[in-house]
Amino acid sequence: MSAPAVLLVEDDENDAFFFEHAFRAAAVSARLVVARNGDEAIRTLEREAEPPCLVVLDINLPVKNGLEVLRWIREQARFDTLPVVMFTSSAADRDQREAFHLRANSFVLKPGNLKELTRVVARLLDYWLAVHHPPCAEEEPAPA
Amino acid sequence: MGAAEVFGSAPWVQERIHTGLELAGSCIALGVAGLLLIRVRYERGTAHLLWVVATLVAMGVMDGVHGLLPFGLAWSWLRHLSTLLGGLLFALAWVPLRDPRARRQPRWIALAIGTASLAVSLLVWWRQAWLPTPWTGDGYSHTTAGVNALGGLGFDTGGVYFVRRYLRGGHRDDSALAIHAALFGTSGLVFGLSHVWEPTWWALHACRLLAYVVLLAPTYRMASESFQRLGESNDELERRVAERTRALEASERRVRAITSNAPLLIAYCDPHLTYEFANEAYLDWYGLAPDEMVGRRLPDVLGDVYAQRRTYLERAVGGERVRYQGPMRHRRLGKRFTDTTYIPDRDEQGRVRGIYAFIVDVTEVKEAELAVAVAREELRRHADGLERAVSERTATLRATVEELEGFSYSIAHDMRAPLRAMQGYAQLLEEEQALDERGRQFVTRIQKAAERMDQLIRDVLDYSRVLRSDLPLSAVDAEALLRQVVESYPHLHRPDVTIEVRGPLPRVRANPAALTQVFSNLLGNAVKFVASGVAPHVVVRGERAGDRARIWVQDNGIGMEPEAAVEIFTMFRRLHPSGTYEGTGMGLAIVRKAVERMGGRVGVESAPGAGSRFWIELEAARS
Repeated sequence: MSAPAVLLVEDDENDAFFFEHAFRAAAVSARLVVARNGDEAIRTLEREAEPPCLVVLDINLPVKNGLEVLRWIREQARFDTLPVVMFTSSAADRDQREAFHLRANSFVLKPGNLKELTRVVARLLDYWLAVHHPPCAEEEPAPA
Repeated sequence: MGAAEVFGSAPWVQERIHTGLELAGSCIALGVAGLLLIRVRYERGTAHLLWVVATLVAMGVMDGVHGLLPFGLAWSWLRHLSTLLGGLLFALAWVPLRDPRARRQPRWIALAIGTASLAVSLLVWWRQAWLPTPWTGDGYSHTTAGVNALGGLGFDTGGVYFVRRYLRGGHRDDSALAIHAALFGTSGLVFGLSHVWEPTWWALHACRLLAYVVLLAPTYRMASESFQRLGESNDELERRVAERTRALEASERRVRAITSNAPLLIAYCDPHLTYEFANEAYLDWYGLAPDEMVGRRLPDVLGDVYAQRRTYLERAVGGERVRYQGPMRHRRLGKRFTDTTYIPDRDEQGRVRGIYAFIVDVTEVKEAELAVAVAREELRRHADGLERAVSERTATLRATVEELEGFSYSIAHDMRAPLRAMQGYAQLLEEEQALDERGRQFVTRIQKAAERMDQLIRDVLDYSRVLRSDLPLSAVDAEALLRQVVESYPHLHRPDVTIEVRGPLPRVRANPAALTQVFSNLLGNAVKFVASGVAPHVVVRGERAGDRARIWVQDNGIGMEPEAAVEIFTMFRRLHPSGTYEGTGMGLAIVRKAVERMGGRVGVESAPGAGSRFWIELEAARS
């Protein structure tokens, strides 16, 4: 059984690169899986036997945007309690409201520079991987 | 019989003279009676004269017959009876009479009395043998004298009435009648003492004739006055007739001028629809002369059109005022559209004796109405089209503007991504050990430039957000918000910076996010624009005037020329060359736009070297 995965959905090559840099700097035990668009994110989630321990989801994505991916995730019973952090440069109210409406767990603005990014990513991973205590993955969700 | 001797001694000359005397008196009496009769008939308040007329008629008739008869019993008795009857009738003047109701009434009365008198006279003449002898050997008998005296008394009784009337009214007519009565009365009273054909007897006859003559004067005067009045009233009448005629002529001229020149067709027909009049316009319409039109029947003139108008004409003849519109053919102009009115003309009994026809050619009006309707419809269609075009274009424009705004927003937004990448790589490069001092300097410059670019983009995005987003207003605690801003922005709590809030600041109606932006920009400027080596000292105060609240941000900075204060709120307006003070020139533009969108105003008071006092004014929140 491999180490738990963090799924980053990010289309921008540079942003993905910096996130990886920050991820490495945070030195957590999880591995990072990167999907470059919404479809790829869904395929990855379907393919992985073990659900990831955290999804970091950009909103402005080609093909299927972050909110659509989020909706898909919440429609899957087994991802019902999967932590999803929206990670975006859009501070638009509408996106934010929509994200929480679709049961995103958090909404984080992409920091403007690398130093800040490193700090934010470290804190994120620390919280969701070490502090946060998710319910048992095998547990069936309560019927809606 | 003893009277034969007296008869025999009567000379025939005396008899002739007597006849003449009596006939003269009779004629005067009847003439005066006739004139008085006219007066009674035509003058108000003369009813009492009817008794005088009766007296005169009775006496006139009997005296006349008396005068015509030969000397004898009847001759004598008629005379005495005349006096008696006259006296009795005259005394009746005291009996008040109303003015006769009908004008003929007095004539009938006079005629009746005349006839009765004549009948009495003829009866006396016919049956004179039955009569007693009026004489004794010594003159008139007592009976005769009594009859005469009674008559005389009657006259005197009537005379008193006229004296009284004269004394009350002063009319000369009444005095004449009083004298007339006195003469008759006297002659009646003393007649019995006289002897036939003797001087006293003649004197008494003269007295009676005089009594008649006395009446002639006022009667003559009355008649002449009447004729004078008649003449005057005739003149007046003639004058008025002439006047009326002139007025009528003028009126007729006017009416003729009006009917001739009126731009409408006027005609008059009798109830059988025969023309009695048609004005010029009417004649011209059918091309007929007046004598060709008058006397012709309307159905003949109208021809086919009559069938359409028949019911209207029948209603008009039936007494109804009719108005309708319809086509009518003009001999030259062809089909025209007319407005026709038929007005029945009624006589005093209300019967229709004719109808007036008034016809107006309303073709032009109708055409104009039609044209106006068409034009209005066209205008409406045009206006509708225009409105639609405008709203379509407005919608398009709005969509375009929105698209453009969205476009610029996303451009600005997308520009940040590569910029962040540049910054990120520059930082990674800086951390590389292999880089020498010079390379490190370049990296720093790249980072600085990228940072400025990023700031600019962020400002543009802020401005755009202030411009585009909804800013719902609520009551905001300005002081708490300000302290929060100072707390959360690192450059505002540097150790050398003093930000002094001289509270309390008023509560305002604002959008918290926009107001945060405003405070952040104003305080940022206040601490930024200071002379080098000077520690920034910012004082924030608030004041309230009515329902407006002002917040002042005062600094100890470099200040500016008053002229610059006007321009400073414009976008990209910078007072200092780039490099002296960092900035994008958008901060105050964002402040102004944000405050204005919250319904407020901004301003600044400043002088070079004396610091600046910026203020924003918003609606105060009700506490």
